[in-house]
Amino acid sequence: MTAHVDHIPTAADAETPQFEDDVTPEAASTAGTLFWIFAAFALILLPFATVAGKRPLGWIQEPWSWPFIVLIVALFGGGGLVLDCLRLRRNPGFSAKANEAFAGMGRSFAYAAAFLAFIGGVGLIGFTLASILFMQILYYMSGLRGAKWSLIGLAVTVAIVLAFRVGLGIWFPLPPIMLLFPDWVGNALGEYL
Amino acid sequence: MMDSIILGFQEVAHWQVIAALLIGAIAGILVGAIPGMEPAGAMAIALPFTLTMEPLPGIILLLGCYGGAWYGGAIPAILIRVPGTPVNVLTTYDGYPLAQKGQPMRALSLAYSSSFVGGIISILALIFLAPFMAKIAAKFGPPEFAAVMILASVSVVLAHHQNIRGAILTFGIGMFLGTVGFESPHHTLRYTFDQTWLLGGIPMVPMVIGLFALSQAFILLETKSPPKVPENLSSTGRFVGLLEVFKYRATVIRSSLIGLVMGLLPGVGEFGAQFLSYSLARRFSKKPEEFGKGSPEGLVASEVSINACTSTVLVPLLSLGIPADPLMAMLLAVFMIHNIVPGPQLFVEHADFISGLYISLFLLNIFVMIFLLIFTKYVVRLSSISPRVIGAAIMILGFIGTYTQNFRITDGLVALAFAIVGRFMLKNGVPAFPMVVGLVLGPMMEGRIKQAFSISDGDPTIFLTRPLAAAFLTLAVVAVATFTWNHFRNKTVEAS
Repeated sequence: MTAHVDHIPTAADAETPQFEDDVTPEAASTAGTLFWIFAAFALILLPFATVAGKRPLGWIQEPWSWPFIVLIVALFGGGGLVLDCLRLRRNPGFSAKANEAFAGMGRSFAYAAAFLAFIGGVGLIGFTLASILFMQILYYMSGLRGAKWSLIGLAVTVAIVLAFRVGLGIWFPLPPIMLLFPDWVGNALGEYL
Repeated sequence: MMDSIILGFQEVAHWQVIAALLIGAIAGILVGAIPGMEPAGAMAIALPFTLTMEPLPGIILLLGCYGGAWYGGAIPAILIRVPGTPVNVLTTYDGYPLAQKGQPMRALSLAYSSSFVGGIISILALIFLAPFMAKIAAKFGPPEFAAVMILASVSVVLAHHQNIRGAILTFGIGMFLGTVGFESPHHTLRYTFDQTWLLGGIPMVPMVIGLFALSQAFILLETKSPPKVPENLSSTGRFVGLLEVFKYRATVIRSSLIGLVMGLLPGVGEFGAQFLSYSLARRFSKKPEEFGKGSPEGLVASEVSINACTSTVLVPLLSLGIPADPLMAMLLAVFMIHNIVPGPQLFVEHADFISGLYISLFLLNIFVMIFLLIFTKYVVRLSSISPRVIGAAIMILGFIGTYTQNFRITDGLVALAFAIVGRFMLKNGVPAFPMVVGLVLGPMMEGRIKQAFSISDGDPTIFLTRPLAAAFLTLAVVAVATFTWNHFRNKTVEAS
């Protein structure tokens, strides 16, 4: 979203690109094409992903009919994006502009991988310890480095844990890591981990 | 009338409702005051917790996040020229120059009072319109409900006129995702591929948390800090600004009406309302040259119209059971988990709930207004918090939100998948809202259409022989035809 535009706005502005992030037609059509391919793939799977109805109630009542209708709507409605993509492919520099659709996604995948590790960590070392580690990793990855930011990250995590784990009493299973310690450790710290 | 008011106060006079109201309102204000956070993300995170509450506190908590954010969004828009939420973009036009003239508190309190007036008018409209719509809806059968859902779908798609093809595509994919799991009337499975976690369908909570909260977190983690807000905020002009809204009565009435109507149209809402309102205010103003340079009238037009939408968006949901946007879809989830079916019967069977809702909405606006007048100088400091800190916190809160509904790790994976999809959509201007509306509206529409065909023995003319159904379908066709006509006419003009 554009932070500010230096002109007097009118209702027509709602339709101008100034109020959207800059997206090249190549990137937009490439992104649309990917969603279109997903819909097409779902349609191809339709015969294998549904079974015929048990009673003859007419085609509209068949289990396959509604997914078929909505996927056709999606494919027909979004077909123009695919045509755009095919048309724009002839232009020089298409690949570079189309690749802009994925710009920044590498960082997002890195954060997603950290999130995935966090989910796994919750099952292994418990919510609190996993959250502390995850928060520190996120701060480091995003460029918030140094003792000051580490302490801020720790404080934010402790606040979240106190609010949700202790305050609201959200349940998490006792982490397996507790098996490595005497029982009293798990009994004493279980509700905070 | 008096009975309803007393009943409403009885419903509200529970600590859970009051706590939800206060927490929701403050959370909403904070979400609005921190640039980059959006009410949809906050509501998505709060949604799982509201499912375990009683219906009224659950709904009020979400509505607090929703309504409070529009108030709070004005703060960074006015002080640092960065809209707190996307719909506050026009607030920057006149709010920021007004603040730069040395009267930031005047600008802020004018924005608050304009929001308050718009919000109260919106609640009054909800009180009068929802029962009226419900009376009409009482005459509905499956064909009418199916037809009005088709009309709502058309409205949602056309609201994304900047990327209509993308909106149809994602709406269709959303409706397709809604078909996953058990189907009726044959009680078979669709697209589950022997995965037990898919038997109940694509879970909505992880989907909305992924699409609106985690995807936003990915972006915030890469965002540079906004400019610093002024340290010492002068309180000069606080009460001048508060009362100034009444100097622009014509603008208030016009902007309110625009907001009310736009709120009723599925998918259009605050963004469309403020642009139309601002543009008309300028056209009819005695000082149009001041617009964009710190015109109080421009600020009033923008803020009134935004908040005039906030309650009328509830009309289609309460009276027809149709969620017009993802925020309403989240409210619908709270209704459904408590076996409260929105629609005509809601006003008869749950009159206490409805009265409580109305009173809560009034109290919400009053509380937000008072809170902001007292605590603005503290809230403004939040506008300077690093977006990366917010992004990291959202990641953990998002996980808590997905996990707590079913205590299933797979829900976290679903949220993560939709987070990546949502990030990709945000980056490339592919609209995500229609996907969520499709997920919720699709199964409802399928059910109604199949029921309609059942009662007509498969005869599709039932949609044309019943006057209300035919009227709704005609409106849908006219809307599509008008849009198509305008689209091609504009293309022709551009080409020539």
